[in-house]
Amino acid sequence: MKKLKAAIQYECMTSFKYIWYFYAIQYAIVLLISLIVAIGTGSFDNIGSNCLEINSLIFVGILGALGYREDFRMLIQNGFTRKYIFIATVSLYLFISGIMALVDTIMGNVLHAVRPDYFSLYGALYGYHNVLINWLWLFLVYMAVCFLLYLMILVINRIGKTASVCLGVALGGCVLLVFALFRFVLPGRTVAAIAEFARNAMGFMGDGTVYHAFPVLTLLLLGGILGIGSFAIIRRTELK
Amino acid sequence: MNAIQIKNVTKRYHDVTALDHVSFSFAFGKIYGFLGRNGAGKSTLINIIANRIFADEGEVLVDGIPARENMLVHEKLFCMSEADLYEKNLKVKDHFKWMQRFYDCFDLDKAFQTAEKFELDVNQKFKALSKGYQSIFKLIAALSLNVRYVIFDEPVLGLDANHRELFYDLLLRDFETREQTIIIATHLIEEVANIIEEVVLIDKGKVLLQESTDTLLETGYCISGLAQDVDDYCRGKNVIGYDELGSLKLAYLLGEKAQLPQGSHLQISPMNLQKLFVKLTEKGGN
Amino acid sequence: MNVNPNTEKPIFIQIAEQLEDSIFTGVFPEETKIPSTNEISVLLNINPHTVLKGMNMLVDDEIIYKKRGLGMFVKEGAVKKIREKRQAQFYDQYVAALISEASKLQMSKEEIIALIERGYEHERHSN
Repeated sequence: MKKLKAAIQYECMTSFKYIWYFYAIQYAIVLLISLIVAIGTGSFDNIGSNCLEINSLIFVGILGALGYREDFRMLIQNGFTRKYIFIATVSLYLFISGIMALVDTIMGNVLHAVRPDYFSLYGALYGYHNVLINWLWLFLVYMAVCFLLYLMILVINRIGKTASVCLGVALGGCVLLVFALFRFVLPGRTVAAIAEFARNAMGFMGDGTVYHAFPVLTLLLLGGILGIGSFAIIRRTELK
Repeated sequence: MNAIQIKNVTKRYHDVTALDHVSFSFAFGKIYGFLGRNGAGKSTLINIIANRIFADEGEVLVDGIPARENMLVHEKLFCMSEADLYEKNLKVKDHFKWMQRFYDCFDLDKAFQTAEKFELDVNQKFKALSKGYQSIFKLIAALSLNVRYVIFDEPVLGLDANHRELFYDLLLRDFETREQTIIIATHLIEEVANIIEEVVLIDKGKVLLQESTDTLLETGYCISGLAQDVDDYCRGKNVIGYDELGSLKLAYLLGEKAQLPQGSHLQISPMNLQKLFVKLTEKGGN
Repeated sequence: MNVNPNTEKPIFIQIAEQLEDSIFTGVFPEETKIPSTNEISVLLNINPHTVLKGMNMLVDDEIIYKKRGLGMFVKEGAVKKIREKRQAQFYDQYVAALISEASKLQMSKEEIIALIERGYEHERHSN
């Protein structure tokens, strides 16, 4: 356990500062845009940017994916097993996602309170009723994105560049095919049912109410599947 | 069993067989020279021992414990590798501090003292170090760990003569007090010839020979003279290679030295390890 | 001390011979400590087991002995023992080789004896 703790600490402590670099840069840019808008329009009523969480989403994805190679090599050199490395990586994702969800929840709510025309991603979708659910939702979305990119980078690393490109093209083809299927092949009733299911899964019920437990469960399930997939690959991953 | 046991290990890359059913042991308490030409399979085997890649068949046991994906060997085995796996943005002193958290048997004070001996600036980031000092950093990390088995993969690459000397000094200084097995994989055979006690020679994915250095030096010799005389002498003996200089022929042999016939014009001379390996691996190439 | 890896003589024998020589010439007097295996091993970059093997030859010859926890010491009477050993080896090492080389060069017994006498003469003059 002591060694696992050390590996987790390593992952978290060496990434911690990057979170704050990211926020410093993000809010500096937001401030700059606001200033430009303010100078242009002569008023401070517009913040100019909405849904700042999208940036965080991209950032956690990049951190999750880019960190893989260096950390895997470093921890393998220091004698850790892939199982330990996986647990440490998951802990890092929990850590980053937790902190960033917290910051984004607080900032989203504060910004909205100060400037009612600013909408956070969560606020725009679900409103501003429950701060705790806001945090949980963001946290799970970030986690899911981390796992998705982790899985992607593991797959790319495993099958090589050429095969990855082929796989990407094939997946793109599949997406187009599915869209075509929805538009032209499947009967309207089925499409409507699937759309309804997707809305329900994210908590938007048919009668206009919002059921928060559903997106939580959906995201947990998604994260779980991606996580298991990642583990299945990393436990067979060799150093290159 | 106190050893690193390699049992029937096979590793293939597509249609290339890097290791072909390799079985042997590194016994505890010795200094090994693990030798072979480029592409012979040295690094592949080291990477399998260190759980960096997986064997397709067979297994590696460290003191009887399977080494694959097993934290039980964490305090037993360390591998200093030629490849740079260390985080490049971390300072040397931070690397040491993390190693102290990762390993119970890491001696932090010793790491800093050794760094001072090598004049390594611990406030530098890994990526800012020269190639030579990156090697030195990796050596210090390995020397500061009191593990039972330590593998050095090309340890003195990029080091100047003074630093090489210092490395061998430190290695031997600790060896007696610590009870360790040291495995040195290298091309620079002559440099380690007096240090290594036993030799494992690998060629084309197979173990060509495992023998004590003394025995090798006792049994390996060179016969030179007129081609006809040399050929007569060599008949029925284990010849591992020839060199020719005009009408002078040199034969390299392994085995008991037979007395030269009375009045013979042949000359016997010792064969050093370097020559021995060049000849042995050349033979494998024909 | 120094070892030469390119001679036919195994390293451990070279170590034993050089230690013996140092004892014989008084570098390490009787009943004093000689360097440890580790010291020699680090100095010459030689495997400590090889050094130990060389030392054990001297232990077997009763030239040095082990003091528990203190190291190896030169035995009393070691110099005398070495002298006797070398005198015993003198014929094999020098005389036999001399005669063998002389016969290769087709030199007679009388010529060799004359040369030996010349050597002694030279020795006396230079002293």
